[in-house]
Amino acid sequence: MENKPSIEDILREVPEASNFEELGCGGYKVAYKAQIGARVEAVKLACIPSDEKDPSVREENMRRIRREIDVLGKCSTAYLVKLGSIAPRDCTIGSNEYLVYSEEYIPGPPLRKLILDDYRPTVAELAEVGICLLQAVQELAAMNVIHRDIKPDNIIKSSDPDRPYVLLDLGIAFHVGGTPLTRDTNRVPGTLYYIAPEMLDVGFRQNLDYRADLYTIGLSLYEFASGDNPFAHRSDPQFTTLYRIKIQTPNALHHLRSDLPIDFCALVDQLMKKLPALRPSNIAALRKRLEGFR
Amino acid sequence: MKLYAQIGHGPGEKLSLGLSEGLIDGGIFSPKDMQKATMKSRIAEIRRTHAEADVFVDPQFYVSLFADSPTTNIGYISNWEYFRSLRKSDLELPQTVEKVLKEYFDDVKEMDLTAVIAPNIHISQSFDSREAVIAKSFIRLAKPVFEKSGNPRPLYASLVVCREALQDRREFEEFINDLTMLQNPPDGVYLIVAGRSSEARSDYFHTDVIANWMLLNLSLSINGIQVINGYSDILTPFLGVVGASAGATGWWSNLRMFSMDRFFPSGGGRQPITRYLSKVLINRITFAEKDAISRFFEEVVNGLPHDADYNPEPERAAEVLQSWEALRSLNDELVTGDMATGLDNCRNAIERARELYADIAAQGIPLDSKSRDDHLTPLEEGLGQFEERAGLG
Repeated sequence: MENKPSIEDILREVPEASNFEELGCGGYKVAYKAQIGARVEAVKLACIPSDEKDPSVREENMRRIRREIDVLGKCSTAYLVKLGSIAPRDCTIGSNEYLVYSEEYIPGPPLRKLILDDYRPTVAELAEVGICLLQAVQELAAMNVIHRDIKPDNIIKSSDPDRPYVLLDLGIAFHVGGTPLTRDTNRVPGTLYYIAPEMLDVGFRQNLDYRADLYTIGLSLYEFASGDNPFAHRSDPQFTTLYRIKIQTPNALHHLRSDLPIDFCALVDQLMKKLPALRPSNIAALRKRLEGFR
Repeated sequence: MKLYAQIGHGPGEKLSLGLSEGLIDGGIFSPKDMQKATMKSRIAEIRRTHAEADVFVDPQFYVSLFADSPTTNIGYISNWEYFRSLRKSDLELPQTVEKVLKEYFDDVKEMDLTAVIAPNIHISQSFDSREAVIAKSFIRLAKPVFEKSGNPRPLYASLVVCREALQDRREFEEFINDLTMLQNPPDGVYLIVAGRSSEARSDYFHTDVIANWMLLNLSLSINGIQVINGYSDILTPFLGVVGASAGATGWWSNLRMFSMDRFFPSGGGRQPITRYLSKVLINRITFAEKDAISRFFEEVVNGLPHDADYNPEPERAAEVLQSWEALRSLNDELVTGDMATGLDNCRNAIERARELYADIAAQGIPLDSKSRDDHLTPLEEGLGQFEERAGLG
């Protein structure tokens, strides 16, 4: 994030919070773990990009961030992060404008950390991850919202048995049938290695639906199970990665984790199909199938 | 997978024989070819004698767009109260589509069918057309309207699509993406692929057509929608391997491959030559060819009970029983619970057919144009293209 303010600056704007500890930093947003009263929460500071020549840029970005917060506020599922005690408010630090708000802090490692630690989950754990994510996606889909950024970094393994895995970050969520979220409608938002193949089609917004999230659930399960993202070859130029995402069929999961049931591996492979029509779309039926592996 | 009789004009005893011998699992009636009252009594008879048989009616509403033409032969479809000639502009209104559906469901309410097949129009050009929009409207509205009818049976939507539409990959993929995301989907789809003429084998045995026909079956079945393939004939096992629940074929060439020609007066001509469906060739050959080839290569004969009908040349009525028997046996051999194994079986079957065709050629036995191996390359390439597109590489 450009123009990341100092902790001292943030403290002046958010005096109710203390003990800031950075959790992560994205393109336009930085998140801190912080103490707010008796609770620990995640304080988020989103920079609002603007353009002096075009005031609508600021308005649009503001709308986008507020939409994320609005969607989170409406979700009731335990498997999506919830809003915290700081309601969204504008603040200006230096010459930059920000929106500050808080979300609950979910203690626990992201799946990314477990993958880096070479942790190999059992089929029951994988099924649990899938069920939690499907519940979150089902609730978002009911609101015509697509998350678009499901990946191991955004999935926290929590210590709470009622919500063992929690999905974070609706920053690039897409509202089906809504107005474009970005000015450049040709730009593909998301994290390169976790972009659903249909998002690479020209005019993808026309046809995008929650099956893009089913794809990234499949990919996250695949990576968590095997430790391998089949499209992430760091030495590759971007177009090679995009080609892989669009064309290359990943190695069947069963070849990488022969200890897992074949039916489970086949289901994960099926969720990662390039063509949305080839992914099973009935979320209730998918959850039921995964229940069988718990 | 199940095999149904595609019932047309002149069923005679074929249906009851096919059911009694366990060659078919049921039949799909054609309003064009049978008085409605006759159809009802036929269905009642099947219910009496073969209670377990599956019975359907194809509404054949796809002829509605040109039913007014003086050259169209809609036969007994006009017996049906729901049926009328409509224009595309009428059908663009969802209330017209709802009305057609409702009236059809009322029309079949008293029939003892296994499942009801909803009417639809024929997509005659592309998936990016007014017709495709209307067809989607029929599919989308079928289940909600059917639920209001109070009929407890399962509902199949019809999808009748020309082979040209299946050749446009992009439009096709967008269409199936939509089709598999319906809020209230039907229990199944009755799928018909239409060629320009039921004699134009190359319309059906075409790489893109086969690949997309298979892909359509796979995508629907993955999404829990049963698929009955009308007029699928020899392609039946190939569709079964990728998830189809049933295929169908009948006794005339226009009951084996679908074309809208079926609703225009036929040009007449002599009776077609009686043919024998050879499993190993995945094709029909003439009686005389079967005789000549089997002297050198016994494997051209299926080794099934109805082979006996071909010694000497059989009556016409026996031909379809032999076809059903051979297809049933091919289904049993090729279609397994596992798609990868099934696809391997199909590939091996094509390879076996190639080898035998090569042996026949080496022996210098001439074959007529329909008996030759022209179908094998599109089958093989269609299979390959399907696997690539379905990410099964």
